[in-house]
Amino acid sequence: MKSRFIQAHFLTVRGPSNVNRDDTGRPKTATFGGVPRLRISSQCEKRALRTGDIFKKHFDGLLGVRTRRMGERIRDRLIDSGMDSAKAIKEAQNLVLQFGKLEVGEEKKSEAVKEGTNQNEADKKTGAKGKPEKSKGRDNVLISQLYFMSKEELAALDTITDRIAAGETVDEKDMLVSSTVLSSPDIAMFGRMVASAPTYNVEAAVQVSHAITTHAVSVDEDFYTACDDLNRQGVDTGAGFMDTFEFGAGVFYTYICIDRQALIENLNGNEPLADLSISVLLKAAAIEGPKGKIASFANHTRAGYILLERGCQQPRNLAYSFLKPVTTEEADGDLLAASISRLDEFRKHTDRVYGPSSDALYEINMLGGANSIDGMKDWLAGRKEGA
Amino acid sequence: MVQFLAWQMAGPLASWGGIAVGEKRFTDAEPTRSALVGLIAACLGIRREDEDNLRALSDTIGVASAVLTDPVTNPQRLRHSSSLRDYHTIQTAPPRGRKGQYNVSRRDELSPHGETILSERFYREGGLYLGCVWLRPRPLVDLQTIAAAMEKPAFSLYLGRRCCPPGLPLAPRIIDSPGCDQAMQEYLSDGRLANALNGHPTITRFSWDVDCPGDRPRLDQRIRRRDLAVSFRRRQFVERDEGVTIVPIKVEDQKTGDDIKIPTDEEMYDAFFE
Repeated sequence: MKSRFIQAHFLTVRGPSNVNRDDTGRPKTATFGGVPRLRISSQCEKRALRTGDIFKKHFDGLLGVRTRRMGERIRDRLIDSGMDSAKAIKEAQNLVLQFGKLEVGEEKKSEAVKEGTNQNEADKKTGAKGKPEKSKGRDNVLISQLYFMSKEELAALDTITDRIAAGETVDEKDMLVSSTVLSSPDIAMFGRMVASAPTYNVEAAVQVSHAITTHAVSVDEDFYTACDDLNRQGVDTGAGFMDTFEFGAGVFYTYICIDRQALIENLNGNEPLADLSISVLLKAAAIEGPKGKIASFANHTRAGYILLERGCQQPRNLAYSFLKPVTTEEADGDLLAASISRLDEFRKHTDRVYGPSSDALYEINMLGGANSIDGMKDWLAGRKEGA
Repeated sequence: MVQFLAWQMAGPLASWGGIAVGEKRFTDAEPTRSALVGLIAACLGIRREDEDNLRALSDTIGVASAVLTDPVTNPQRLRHSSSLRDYHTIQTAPPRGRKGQYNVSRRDELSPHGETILSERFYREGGLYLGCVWLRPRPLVDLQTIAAAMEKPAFSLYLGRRCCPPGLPLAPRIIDSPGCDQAMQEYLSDGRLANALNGHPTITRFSWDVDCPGDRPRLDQRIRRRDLAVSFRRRQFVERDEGVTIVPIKVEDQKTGDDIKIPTDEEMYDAFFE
C-alpha cells in the first residue's frame, strides 16, 4: 500500500445522548449551513479512541513488557552460552544497573503498591500473606522497580548479552539499551506537546475533525426529579431535588485523515506497526464512541456507514455534502439513507469539478453491501478492491 | 502583469489564531499570514523544526487573502463567518520524573490523574477564504512548485488548527494579473467554487502585505497585525503592516434576478437590537 493519505468518513446514528457537553452541561453545537447542529469535538473523539478497549487490546501487548526480571533473562542467556554461573550473575548485575537499582534485602510491600501495580501483583511479589520475597542476597539479579522494556530494547539487550557471552568487553556506554524515542502507537497517531521539553514533541499523523450532524438539531431538555425515600406519606410533599439536563440525537458525520508516511516516521520506520495501527484506529472509530453520560443513555453505537479513500491527492473532508441540512422529506424520513446518498452525490460532484481526490474507495454500508470491517485490512493492504 | 498563485480554503470550521498567552485561544475573522505560510510549508514538506527553511519561505513570498460570503454556506448573509466557542478540557499527566513511573502511552500517563486544564478555543464557522502569494527576490521555491505541492501535499493540511481539515481541494491556479486583488477576483470567476457549493461566493474583504507588486488594491484600512512568524518552533511573532480593502457586494438572486442585499455589520447590529 503506497498511498500517503487514508481518509475515512463515518456516518453514525446516535440516539438520545449527550456524549460531549460544554461547561453548562449542554451538548456541544455548531452552526453549519445556517442551522444549528449537534457537535462532538475532535478532542472528545480522540480521547474515546485512546482510552477505549480496542486500543488497549491491540496496543498494550505490542508495546513490550513490564518487568524487574530482565537480569534473570541476561543471566540465563549467559549461562546457556557456557559462561560460569558466578560470572554470569556478576555480568547480569552490571547490565541491569541501567534500568534501576538492584533489589537489596526485603522488599517493602508499600513500595510495590506505589508502582501502580494492582493488589494481586503486589501480593505475588511480597508473598501471598505479606511476607517479603526472599532475595538471594549477593546472587540477586532483580531490580527493585518495574521497568517497561519495549520489544526493541529487549532485542538490543539480547544482542549485548551475546557480545558479552562471546568474551567481548563491552564499553559502559554501549551497554545502554533504552531508546529515547518510544514508539507508542497512540502518541505516534495523535501527537504530543510537552512545553517544558520540546524534544519530546511528536507531530500528530492523524487528523480528526469535529463531528457534526448532517441535519438541523435542536437540543432537547429532560426535566427530572429525585425523590426522597424517607418522605412520609401524606405529610412530606414535593421532590427532594429537581433539575433539567439536555440531550440530543442525530446522524453524525465525522472525518479522519491518516498521513501514513508521517505515522511510519513517528513509529521509527516500523511499517507493519503503522499498518496495524491504522486498521486498529479505523476499527475503533467504527465501533467505539465517546462515553459521556453513558449511564443515563446507554447509547453504545456503531457507525452505520464508512467510506474509506486512499491516495496521494490533497485530502478533503466531505462535510459540505450536508451544507444544506438533510431533511425528513428526503429518502422518506430515513435520515441515514439520505445522508449516505448526499455523501455519495457530493463526492462525485467535487470529483467532476476538481478532479479525483483519491485513487481507490472502500464502502462499508450497514444498510447493505458485502464489505465489512474485517475486509478493510485487506483493502488497506491493496489485496482487495472496494465495492 | 505579475504572476500570482491563488487558491481557496473552504471548510466547515477554521481558526486563524492571533496573540494567545493563556487558556483562551481566539481567532481572527480573516486568515493570518502565519497560517497561510504554514499551509504552504505543509504542502512542501517543510517540518516545524526546520527553522531556516521556514524563515526562508516566509521571507520570500508575499501573502494576501480574501474573505468570502455566500448565501448557501452562511444563509444569515453575514459579511463573513460566525464565531464558535469550544469548551476544551485537557487532562494533564502527572509531572515527569515520578519515581518508578515509565509512561509509554497516553493511557499510561492518565492513569494516576493529573490536573485538568480548562480552555476555550474559538473557531470561525461557515467561512470561505482565498489565499494568494507572489514571489519576492531570491525565492526559496517557485510558484509552480507550490501549486504542484498543493495538489499532492507532503503533510495533511488544515485551516489554522489540525481539527479543521479543508472541505474542498485547494484547487491552486497560477494567474497573471495586474494586482493581487484582481488575481483573486479572477480566481473566483472560473465558477468552480460556486459550482461545487451550488452557491454565490463573493469577496467581501481583501487583506494584503503592503509590498504587493503591480496595482496596489484600494487602501481602506492599514492595520498592524502580529502574525509574522520569526520562529515557528518558539511561537514568536512580530508585527507587520497589512492593507485592507472592504468590498461592497451585490449578489443576484438566481431565480428573480433581483439583487440580494448583504447587510453591513452596522445594519446587522441595528437589526439585532431593534
